Amino acid sequence: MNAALETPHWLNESFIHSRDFFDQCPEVRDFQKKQRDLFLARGLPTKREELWKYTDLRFLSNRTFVKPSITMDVVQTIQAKHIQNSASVRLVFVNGLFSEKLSDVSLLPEDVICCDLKTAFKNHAEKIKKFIFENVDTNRFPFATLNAALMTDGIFLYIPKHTTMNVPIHILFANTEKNILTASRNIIVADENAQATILEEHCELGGRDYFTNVVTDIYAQPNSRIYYHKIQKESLDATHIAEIFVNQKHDSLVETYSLALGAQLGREDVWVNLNEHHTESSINGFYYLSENNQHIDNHAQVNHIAPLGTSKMVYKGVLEKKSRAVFNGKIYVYTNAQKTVSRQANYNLMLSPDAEVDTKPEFEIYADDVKCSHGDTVGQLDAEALFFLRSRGIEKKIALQMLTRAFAADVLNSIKNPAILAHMNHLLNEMFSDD
Amino acid sequence: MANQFLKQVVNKNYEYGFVTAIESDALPPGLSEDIVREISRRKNEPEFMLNWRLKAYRHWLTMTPPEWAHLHYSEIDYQSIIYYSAPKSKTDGPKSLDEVDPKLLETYKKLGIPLHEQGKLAGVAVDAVFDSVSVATTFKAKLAEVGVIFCSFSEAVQKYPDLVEKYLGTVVPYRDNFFATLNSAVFSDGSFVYIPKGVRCPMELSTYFRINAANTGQFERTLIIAEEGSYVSYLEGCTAPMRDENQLHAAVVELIALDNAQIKYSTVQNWYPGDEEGRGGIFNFVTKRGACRGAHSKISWTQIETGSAITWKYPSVILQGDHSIGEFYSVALTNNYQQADTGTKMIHIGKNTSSTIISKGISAGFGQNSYRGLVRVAPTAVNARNYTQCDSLLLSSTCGAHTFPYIEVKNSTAQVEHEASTSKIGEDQLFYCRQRGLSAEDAVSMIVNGFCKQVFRELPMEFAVEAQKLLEVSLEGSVG
Repeated sequence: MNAALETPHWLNESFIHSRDFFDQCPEVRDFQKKQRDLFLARGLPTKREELWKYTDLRFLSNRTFVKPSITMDVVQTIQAKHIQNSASVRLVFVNGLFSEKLSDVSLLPEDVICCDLKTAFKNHAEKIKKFIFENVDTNRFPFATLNAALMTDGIFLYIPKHTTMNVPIHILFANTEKNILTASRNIIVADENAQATILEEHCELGGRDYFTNVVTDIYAQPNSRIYYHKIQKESLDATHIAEIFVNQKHDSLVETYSLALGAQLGREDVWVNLNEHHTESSINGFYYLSENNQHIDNHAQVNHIAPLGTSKMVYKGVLEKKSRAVFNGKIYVYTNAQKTVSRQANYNLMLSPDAEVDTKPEFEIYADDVKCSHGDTVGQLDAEALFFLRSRGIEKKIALQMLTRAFAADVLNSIKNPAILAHMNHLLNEMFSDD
Repeated sequence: MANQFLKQVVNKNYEYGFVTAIESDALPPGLSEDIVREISRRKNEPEFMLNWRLKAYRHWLTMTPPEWAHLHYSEIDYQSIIYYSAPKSKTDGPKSLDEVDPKLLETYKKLGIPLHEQGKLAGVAVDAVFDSVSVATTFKAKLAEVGVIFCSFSEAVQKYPDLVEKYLGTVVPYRDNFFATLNSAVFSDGSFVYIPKGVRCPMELSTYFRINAANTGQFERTLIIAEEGSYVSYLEGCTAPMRDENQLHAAVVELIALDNAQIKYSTVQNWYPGDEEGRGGIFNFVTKRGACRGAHSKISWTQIETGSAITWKYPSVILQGDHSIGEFYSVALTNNYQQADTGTKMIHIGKNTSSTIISKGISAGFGQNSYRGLVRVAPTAVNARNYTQCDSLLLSSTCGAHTFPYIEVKNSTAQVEHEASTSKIGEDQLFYCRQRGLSAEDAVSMIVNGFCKQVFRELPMEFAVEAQKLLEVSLEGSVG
C-alpha cells in the first residue's frame, strides 16, 4: 500500500513488544507478531481510500500513546454506570484491563462461560482458540489487525446449547487515564438454540485523549438469538475505533443497537455475514453529535451469502455545532442468496448550520429474486411540528428536545430489554440537560 | 483540393521527423505530442486550440485510468488506437441496402425506421438513397434566421474562435479526468451550439440533421451555450444500432446555461454492445457536465443507455446560479455481458437550488448495472433541495444491480432525500398479464416500459416512441 500513511511513531517495536500479557501462550504471541507485521505492512489508512474518504486519521501519527494500567480507584464512581432497576451480570474493565473487584458474575448460570480473555485461556483454551485466531482482511479492517496485534484484554462469552440468558450481560469499559491505548477483543458465541442479551458500554471516568480500539466478534449458531447493544460515550477528546463482526448460521437472529454519544473521532464498522439460510439480522444505530469537531463515522455491511435472509439496517443521527457524521451502509447480495429481503435507511437531522453529513447507502446485488430498498434523508426538524408545539405554549428548547427525542425513539424503541432501553434513554437525556 | 491541402500538411511534417503515408487519411496508431500537433494542424486550428490540446496531452501523461468504477475490462492499449482519421469517403460504404447485413436491417424494421434513414444509418453512400442534405440545409436556414449557431466543432473553431476560446474547457477543464483529458488532447470533432439572448430555439436540435454528423469519430466534443433567457432542446444519438469500428469512445459534453436559460439534453445511446458471449462491443467513457451559471437557469439530462459493452458516464449539473435547477432522468439497460456504471452528480452551490434524479436500471442476462451518483450541498447552498430515486429491475438470476449514491451535505437548511429499490418483476404482475392473453415477452416489455415511464415522458415525443421499441429489441431473448 503506497497510499498508506507513515507508521505512527508510537507504534514502534518497543511499544508492541511491551505487551507481555499473553506471553505465556506462545500461540498467541506468534499470532500477535504476525498481525503486527500485517498492520505495519499496510499502515494507517488515508483519505484516498474509499472506506476512509471522509475520515482523516493523520492526527494519529502525531500522537503518543502509552500502555494502560489501573491506577485510580473507581469503586464509587462506577456505581452510577450500572444498569439501574435490573439485575445484570457485570464485567468491568478499567483502562482495558479486567477488574475482578468491580465485576459481578453471581447471576451467571453454571454452564455459561463469561470471563475475561486471560481466564478464558486458562480454563477454556480449546473453546476460545477456535475463535480468537480468526484472520481478518487487513486491508479492509486495518484496525482489527491492529487490535489483534495489541490485544490488551476483553471478554469471552459462550452460551451453551438450549440456554436462554434472560439477565443482561453488561460489559463495561471505563477509562480513567490520559493518552492510553486499549485494544479490547470481545468474543460472543451463542450455541444452538441459545439466547443472550448483551450491553457493551464504553465510558469515561476521568480519562482524556485516549484511544479505544475494540473488536467484537459475534457468532450466532443455528436457531440462536443474540441481542447486542453498544454504548459509546467516550470522553469528547478521545478516539474510538470499533469493529463488530457478526456471523450467523441458519435460523439465527441477531439484533445490534449502537448508540454513539461521545468521542471526538468515533468510527464503527459493522460487518454481518449471513452464512446460511433463514437468517434475520437487524442493525441499528443512533448518533448524537453535540460538540465542535466531533466526527462520527459508521460503516455497516450486510452480506447475504445464503438464501432467505432478512436484514434491516437503520441509522439515525442528530448533529449540533460544527460536527460531522459519516454513514456508509452496504447490502451485498450473493448470487445464491435468492429471496433476500433487505431494507436500509439513514436519516440525519442537522440542527446547526455548520454541521456536515456525508452518507452513502449502497447496494451490490447479484441475485434476482430479491426485494431491497433504501431511503436516505438529510434535513431539519419539521417546522410545522415545531410550530404546533410552540403554539401550545411549549418553550422552544423543550419543543426541540421533544422532537429530537421522538426522532431517536424510532430506532431505540425496538430494543426489547426494558432496562437497557431505559439505560440508553437516560444517557440520551443527559445529552439534553448538558445544553 | 482537399488532397492538395493534405499533401501540404503532410509534407510539412517531415521537418519534425514525422512520417505518414500520403494515400491514407488516417494517422498512424499511437499517441504522441507529434500526433496532437498533427491533428491540430490538419484541422487548421488557431494557436490557442493547439496549446490547449498540448496542455491536455502533457497532463494526460501524468494520469492513470480510473479504477473505482464497478467495471471489469481488459486494459486498453492507448498506443494501438488511431487518434485521427478523416471522414471516410463515400465509396467505402456499401453501395446499396442489399449489401447491408440483413440482421441489421431486420432491427431497423422492428424499430420502424424509414427506409431512407436506414440507408444513412448503415452507412450507404448518401447519393444512393434519399437526399438528406437538402433537409438539413432547410433546417440550417431556419436556425440562422433567429441567430442560432449550430455547426460542427471544427467549423466553430474556424468561424467563431472567440466563443470557443471563451467557453471551451470552462465546465470540463482539460485536467478533469483521464478520459476527458485524453479527449481534450485528441478530439476530432463534435457539435457546437450557441443560442443568443432571449431566443427560443425553434426546433429540436439533433445530430441527425447536422451535415457530416455521421463520422464524428470516437473522440467527440460538444459545447452548448445558452445565453440569457434562451431555450434549447438537443438530441444526441439515435435509436438505431450504429455500426462503428472504434472500440474506445471518450466523448466530452459541456453545457453552459446563463440567467434564465434552459438546456434540455437527451441522449439515446445504442452502440454495439458486443455479441451474446460478450465479445467485442464499444467501450464508452463519457464526461458530460452542465453548468447552471445564471440565476433561474435549468439543465436537464435525459438518457437512454442500451448499447455499448461498457458505459462509464455521469452527466452532471453544477448549480451555481441562485434558484437554478438540475435534472437527471436515466434508463440504463444491460443485457448479455454488458456493464454500465452510470449516474449523475448534482453540485449545489447557489441559494435555493434544486435537483431531481430519477434513475432506472434494468439488468438482464449477465449484465452488471450500477448507479453511481453524488449529491453535494456546499455551505453556500441555502435551502438546497434534492430528490433522488433510483430503481433497479432484475430480469435474470445471473445479472447484477448495484447502487453507490454519495450524499454530502454541508448546509443545515438543505433537504436531501434518496430512495432506491431493487427487485425483479413480480410474479403476480406477470401472471395478470399472461392471464389476459399477453405473451410472456410482451408482458415483460409492458412492465419494463411502465417501469421506465417516468423517464420516457421526459423525452421528445418521437424519441419516446422509438425508445420504447428499442427496449423491446434490446431485451429480446432475455425472457423466456
